[in-house]
Amino acid sequence: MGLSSLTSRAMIRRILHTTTTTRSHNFSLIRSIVSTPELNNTASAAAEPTPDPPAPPPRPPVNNARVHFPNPEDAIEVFVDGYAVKIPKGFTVLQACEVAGVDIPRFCYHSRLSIAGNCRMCLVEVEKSPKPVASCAMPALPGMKIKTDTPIAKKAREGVMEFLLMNHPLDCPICDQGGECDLQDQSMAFGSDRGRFTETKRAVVDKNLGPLVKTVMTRCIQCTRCVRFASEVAGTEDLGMLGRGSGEEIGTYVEKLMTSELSGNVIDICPVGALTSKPFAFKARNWELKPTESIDVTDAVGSNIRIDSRGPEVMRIIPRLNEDVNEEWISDKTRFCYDGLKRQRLNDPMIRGSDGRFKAVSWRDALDVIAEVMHKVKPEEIVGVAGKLSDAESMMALKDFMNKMGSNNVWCEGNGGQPQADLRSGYLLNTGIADLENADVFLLIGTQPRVEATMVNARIRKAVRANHAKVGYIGPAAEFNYDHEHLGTGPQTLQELAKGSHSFFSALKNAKKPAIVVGAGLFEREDKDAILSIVETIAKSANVIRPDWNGLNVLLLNAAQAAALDLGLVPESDKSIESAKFLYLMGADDINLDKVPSDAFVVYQGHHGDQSVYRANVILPASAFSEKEGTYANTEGRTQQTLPAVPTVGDARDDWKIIRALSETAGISLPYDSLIDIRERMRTVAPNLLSMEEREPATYSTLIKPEVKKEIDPAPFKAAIENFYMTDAITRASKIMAQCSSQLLKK
Amino acid sequence: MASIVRNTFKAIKEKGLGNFLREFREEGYLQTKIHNLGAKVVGVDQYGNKYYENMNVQYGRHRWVEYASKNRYNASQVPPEWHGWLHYITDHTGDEILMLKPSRYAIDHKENFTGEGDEKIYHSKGHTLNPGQRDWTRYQSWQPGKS
Amino acid sequence: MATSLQRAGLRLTHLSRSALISTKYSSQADALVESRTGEIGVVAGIPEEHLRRRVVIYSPARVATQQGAGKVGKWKINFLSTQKWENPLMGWTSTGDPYANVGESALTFNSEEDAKAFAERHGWQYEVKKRHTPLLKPKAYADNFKWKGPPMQES
Repeated sequence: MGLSSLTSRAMIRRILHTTTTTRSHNFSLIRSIVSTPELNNTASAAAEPTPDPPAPPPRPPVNNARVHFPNPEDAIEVFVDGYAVKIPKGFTVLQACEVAGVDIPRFCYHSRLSIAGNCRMCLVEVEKSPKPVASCAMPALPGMKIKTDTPIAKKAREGVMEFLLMNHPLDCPICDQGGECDLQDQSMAFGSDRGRFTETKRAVVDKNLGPLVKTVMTRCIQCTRCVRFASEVAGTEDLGMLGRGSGEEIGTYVEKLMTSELSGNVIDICPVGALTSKPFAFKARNWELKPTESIDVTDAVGSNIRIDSRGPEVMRIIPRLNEDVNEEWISDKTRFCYDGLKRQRLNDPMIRGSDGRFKAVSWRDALDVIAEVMHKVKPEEIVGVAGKLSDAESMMALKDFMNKMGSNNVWCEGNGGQPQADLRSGYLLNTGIADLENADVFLLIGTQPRVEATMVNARIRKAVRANHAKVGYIGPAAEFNYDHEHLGTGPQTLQELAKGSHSFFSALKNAKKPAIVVGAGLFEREDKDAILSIVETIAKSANVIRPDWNGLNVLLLNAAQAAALDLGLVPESDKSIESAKFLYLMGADDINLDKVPSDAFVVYQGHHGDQSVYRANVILPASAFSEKEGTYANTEGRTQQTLPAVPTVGDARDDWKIIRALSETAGISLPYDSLIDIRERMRTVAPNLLSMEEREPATYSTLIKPEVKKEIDPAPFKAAIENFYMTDAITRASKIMAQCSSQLLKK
Repeated sequence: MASIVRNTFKAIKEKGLGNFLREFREEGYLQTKIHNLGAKVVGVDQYGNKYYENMNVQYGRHRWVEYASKNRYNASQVPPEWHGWLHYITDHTGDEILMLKPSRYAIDHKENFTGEGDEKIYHSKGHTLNPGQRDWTRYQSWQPGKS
Repeated sequence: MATSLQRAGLRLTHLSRSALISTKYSSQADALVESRTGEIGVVAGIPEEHLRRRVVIYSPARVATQQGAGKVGKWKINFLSTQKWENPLMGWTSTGDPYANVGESALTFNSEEDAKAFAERHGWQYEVKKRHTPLLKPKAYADNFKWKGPPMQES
């Protein structure tokens, strides 16, 4: 009685209160509960649902990604957290969320590998689905309503995180991945604050994968990214999952090292610290490193890298995304050659005295000596050779200087005796590295892309896997990581193909997008023109060169070759070395110095004391690629630029600055004083070298060239690179590369 | 005072009066000698410091060191192995603890050379006055061989 | 009654103030103060030699070791400052360049235009690097089980 009367009295009082006060003013201190018949009528509410709140503004896709619509009519619309997005038909829920700007946590999913769906971290809630859905695997259907921030999705993530951390060792302080670990970041963002695991954790024995990849398999969360990478992208089926349940281990089962040249990429792929970089182990934490975006120069691909440096020293090199060149991968040589930047460096100008020993001198003295000798020598006895790692600015300066001194014998290493620089299509990868993955028949002539240009090889493998492309190879027996037909070893096979009598010719002719790749190792042959002419005949008769698709490609070996030929570093005579009295080597270490006369005055300008230094009379220290801002053109004609990450070593200077100073000492100053000026000079010669990061395809194809009918040397094609790990001055000076070549090369 | 007299008589009784008087005259540092009467020499370290213990004296003052250098002595001359015993931290004497010193990487004890001059004081690894001055360059330059 | 009048008065003043504010800062073009190229540096007391720098404007790529894209999309200025050396006493890294750490740690922009405007105001010559973005292609779990074609003939 008492309570009920109290309540009823309170209710009466309230009702009385509301009727008097609702109509007076809106700023009443007592918030009244208004109950009117319209609001109580649920039937009308069901008939007219409350209008949706206004659509939230669209957000950019995760990573600012571009979406590839294979058929624009086939786009479907899904709703992610209330945002409507248009996606192509085959997209998964995770990709749809990426387009909508929602980054879903994941461990096993990688955009360039096949979908595994075993980590379960990407679970999201989809309306009308009984359980949360693995967004990496579920295809997005039209009209799907995806919710990523509901309690179910959050609980799923916390649960998965808890399970993953159960068997994960407490290694963060000693783990190299700390600071850049997906597990750390996702457990902070999506995990719960406490775990409930009180048993003992399991431990796994470490596997030896070689001198590059350090394994601590206890930390492995069995996401299988490395297994999928090794089998799909690298092509070597080294790694696999052994065992079941909590006893699962990733390993090679047999005691095998990862010999693939892409093995370093598993370090980036592994989300935890199970696979880390062995040379970089315990050297630095990622937050103390300063990143610099630059280009790799160990091969002609020009992979985009990021040089991480701490103070004056390069600590590591990791890849940078460039969809057109190297996607997200770099080769082992690129990744681990930074070691060589610290050894065998030239840091002072040196002059060889009369006793044959080198003495360190000042810049002024060295330049004076060189200028003096240059004036004593006749112009036709002056020869300049640019090296493999030279940038376009320095090659421009060298050519200008040599020309002003009266000499026209300047060339770049690796281009052969009489390089043809008239038609750009004669020395570029005309198809473009990105378009190579659309080709369906490949003919590789005298080139082993696996060692010469690893990223091009990765693209060819991509084409072989996706399009079932046929690959025919002419050259010495070599290892390939895709199925290929070894057609022959020498020019006879080429002649058969040109006549049309070879069985592979029909495949080439019937292909929708054929690609012929000629190796730059052929440039060294005497009958180079004849061989290239035969290749052009094949291309013409198999209709490889079309207006929209030029399939005749040349794969260059060095980073400097394309820019050198663009700038016109073509010697007047290929016998100039034998009669040279003054030889200017700008980083040229792979040149054959046997033919140089013993009284010739040799100047070596470079950054490593590699091979040519021992014949030099004067040494001028220059800067390496990580210390200078240089323009490089890669094998497909894309101009890219390195940026300086670390200071130059000792008293070294930039290459073109040395030549400019030398020109002033010699009395014929070159007309440029700054980088802008020398680039303007380059613009007059090769304007494509100024359009950064753009690929300038060749205007004319080699179809317009006349046929060359010369004798062909029946000698079989030789391998251009014997040792993948030791190709230029930097890699030869590197300890890691030495370890690799002793342990990882097939004997 | 009484202990000094008692100890003197005990020493005379042990060594004989003639020996006692001879030692008294020859060695000097009378005060120290008087103090050391009745004390046992527990050990001598490699620098010549003598370590005495006398259990019949007030607790807390029953262990002391007689430094090797009688005019230039300071507390940092006591090596770490004897330091614990001397400061009543442990009962293990220095020779026992010396057996635990790792032979592979342990270095000899140095006294505190503060203010003793530039040759003796500590200099950091890159300091010019450090005899083994370290070169911090992170690269190795090419060394020309024999032509 | 009085309270409602007061509140109406307050509302009027709010409106008028916001109107004034909006007219003052409506657009940069008719701002009260216009700045010419390179002037801010002089006014800010930056030394002459640092007003003649060359810088590179870029958008840092996602770090390859992680999948997280939280920091992607910012624009930064790289001051090309590599004048560093090891201090001979302790081996620490010394530099004489005041812009040594500015580009990498402290200065980020939300768009390319903002970065360019900043560089212009300081009078630096800049070069803009193109931003690389990934390309999303359709992926399906069913591709794992698709028929991969007839087995290749071993030659």
